[in-house]
Amino acid sequence: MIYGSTGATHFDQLAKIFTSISISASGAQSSGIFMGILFIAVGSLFKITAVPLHMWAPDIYEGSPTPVTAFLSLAPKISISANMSRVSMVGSYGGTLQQIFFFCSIASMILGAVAAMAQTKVKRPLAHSSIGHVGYIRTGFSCGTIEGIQALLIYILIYASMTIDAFAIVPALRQTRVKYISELGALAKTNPISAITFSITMFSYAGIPPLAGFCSKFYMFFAALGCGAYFLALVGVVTSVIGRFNYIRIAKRMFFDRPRTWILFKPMDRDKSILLAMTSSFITSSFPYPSPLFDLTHQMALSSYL
Amino acid sequence: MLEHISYSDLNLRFLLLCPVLGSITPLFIPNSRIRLIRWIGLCASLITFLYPPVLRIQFDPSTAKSQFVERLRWLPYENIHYSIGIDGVSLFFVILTTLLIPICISVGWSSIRHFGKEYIIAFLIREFLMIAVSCMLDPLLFYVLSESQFRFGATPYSTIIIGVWGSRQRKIKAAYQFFLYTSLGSVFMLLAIPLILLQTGTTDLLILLTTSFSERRQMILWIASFASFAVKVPMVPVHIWLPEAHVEAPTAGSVILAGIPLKLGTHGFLRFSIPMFPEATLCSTPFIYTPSAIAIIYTSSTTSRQIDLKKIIAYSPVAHMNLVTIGMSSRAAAGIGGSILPMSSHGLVPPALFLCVGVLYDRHKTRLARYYGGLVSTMPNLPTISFSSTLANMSSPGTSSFIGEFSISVGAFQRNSLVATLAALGMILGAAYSLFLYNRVVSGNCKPYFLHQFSDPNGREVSFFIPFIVGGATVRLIASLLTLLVRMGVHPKVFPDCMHTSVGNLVQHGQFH
Repeated sequence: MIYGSTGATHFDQLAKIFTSISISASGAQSSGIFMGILFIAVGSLFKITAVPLHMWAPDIYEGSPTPVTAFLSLAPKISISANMSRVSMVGSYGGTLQQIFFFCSIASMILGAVAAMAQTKVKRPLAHSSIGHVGYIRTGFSCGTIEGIQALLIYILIYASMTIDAFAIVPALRQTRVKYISELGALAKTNPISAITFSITMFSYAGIPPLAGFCSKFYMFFAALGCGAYFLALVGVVTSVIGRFNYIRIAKRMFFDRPRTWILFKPMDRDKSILLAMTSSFITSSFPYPSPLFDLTHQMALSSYL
Repeated sequence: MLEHISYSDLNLRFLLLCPVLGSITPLFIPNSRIRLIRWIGLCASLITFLYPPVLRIQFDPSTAKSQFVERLRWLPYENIHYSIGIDGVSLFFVILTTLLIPICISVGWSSIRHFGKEYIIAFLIREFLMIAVSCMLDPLLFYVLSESQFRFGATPYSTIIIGVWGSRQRKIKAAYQFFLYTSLGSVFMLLAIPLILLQTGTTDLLILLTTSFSERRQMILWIASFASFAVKVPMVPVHIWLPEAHVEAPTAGSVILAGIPLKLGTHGFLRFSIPMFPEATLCSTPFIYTPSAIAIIYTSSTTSRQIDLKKIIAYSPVAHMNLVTIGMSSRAAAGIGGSILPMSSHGLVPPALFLCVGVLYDRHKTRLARYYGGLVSTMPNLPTISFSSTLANMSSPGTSSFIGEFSISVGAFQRNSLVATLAALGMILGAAYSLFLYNRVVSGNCKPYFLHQFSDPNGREVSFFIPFIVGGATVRLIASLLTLLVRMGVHPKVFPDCMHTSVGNLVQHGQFH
């Protein structure tokens, strides 16, 4: 559609055309472009499982083999977020798109926190929590400042490492057909190191202070407040507390509950454990020394504006 | 702002490094050599304890500047730095922390079997966090460290330690409550800090003290940070986590919990809310007074009904800390200075009481007051110690808490006599429940029916033998806490000397805006 209206698909040309159109302020001809952008936005929202279009996510996450789920929860978000950043920078056409994104972020955050409370299987809360995290990512995206983009990038980086961590543990447990959360019970007694690692990942998802998840959330709220989205920040903060309940519940099941039948977990193979070690050490140690992360993403955010 | 910093040769790095090293070392030692781990933990904490008196000697009480300041670059991009420094107020907390940790480690010497290594590691990490929090001059890192201390420190490990016995459902409920209550309150501060950061471009406290926020913004920021501190204080509607957490924690966990994290709320209040948002504090003074006064009277009354020994002692911090907030919001020098003293004495008194209860609990494995009675006939030493602690708990003259309470009453009377009257009334109720508890447990008729049911005579003989060997340390430690109490009560001039200038600075700062 955009090609139909403007005759160009390259970003630079689109940028020139858009700015010239907005200068000339002609109303009727621009509706095609607007619809086109809207469709692109909706398609992207679909792919990253933001709220009005998230229905496919929990089922697919649960049903597919775990490496596929890991890929599916990470890769589209990274690539589409990058894509959308580019698109929105050249095609920022009116303020209404920003409101759509705000609404999506709020709804995603709320849904991700609340719906995950009702789950009983291992992978579905992870799916819902990634919906919630997408909400946070959209927050960073919907403010149009550099800090927003930078917050987005930081969040994606940390979220990527957390998700890799979580999805590396889950298949290790799945070797013995773990599907329900209650079967994680008493993991602390049979395999304490993986229990601790998983709970560190869960706490980082929850945004608990000395871990990396907290840094990313903090910066996200900083960016949101910086562009004046007070309500968004408030909702984000409250839903992060609600979401904490979920994550603690998983941790609690691991440490405190006694399952009906004792399940023996096989030890993990070496590749996974190296991966887990890398990501979890990143999570725990990124607090005392976060400045390379921030500098790097600042550079990235700046360069995407040029 | 540079006039607020005075550099010196000593630095705080050693103080913070020692617990960290002490906590990393046991990671490399296998779990079977638990004695070695315990000794390493104890030595690390004792070394850390030896350092603050050096600081105290070198401390210059004539200035209100922060001394021994260190700045490390944490996030130069946003100008957030890791800056720590000690002034008169935080010197106490540092000394208190380093005093309590060796005691806790030796309390848990033989009674922690299951996760011994993690216990020591967790304690030392907590010590590091607590010292760092006391010295921290940066609101963001203060917030982060206090949050992490709350989340990681109290809940997971203490519930792990009790993990296999006790009423587990209740404990898990307690853990949830603790976590979520404090989360909800503190995330509002998480919003307040970026707002500050946005306005001023930095989170260095020394710079923030000189900025002036607009009044409306001050109210918002004040309410947000108050939400966080109010849960930690704890103030009345959100105080429920405290008895639960104390009751379900092991003895050493309660000692530590009563020691430092309870001070975090009032300390944060003192250091961040009052200096940075003076108009908002002025406006919200009635708002602080009301829940605090209600809290003192309400908790003292509720405590008289309790049957669990630990819960009774756990309720007393609520009353004390609310007295402290009344004192702080009175904004008089007597009030603020007087509010720091209960904070320090509070770090000594409930731990001593918890240790006494812990001794009883180790013997008889029950904490219900119904089963105890007439202990003075069977254990003569314990009631002496617990009587002194009980006296201190109800702030009778001669103990350290009296001085604080008196100063707070003086300060609060200058502002609002009704609240001061209510607070004093609450302290009378506090005396009531303390004496009631003591009376029930110690004097009266011995109840041999119950006691014999829980431990047969041979076991009790042995269990009396054991304290003279292992837990004789416990009795000695309680005695040492006792002498500190008496000393602070009889010779209190030692402590306010350091504080006077800092307190005066605070008051002046608050009144000039």
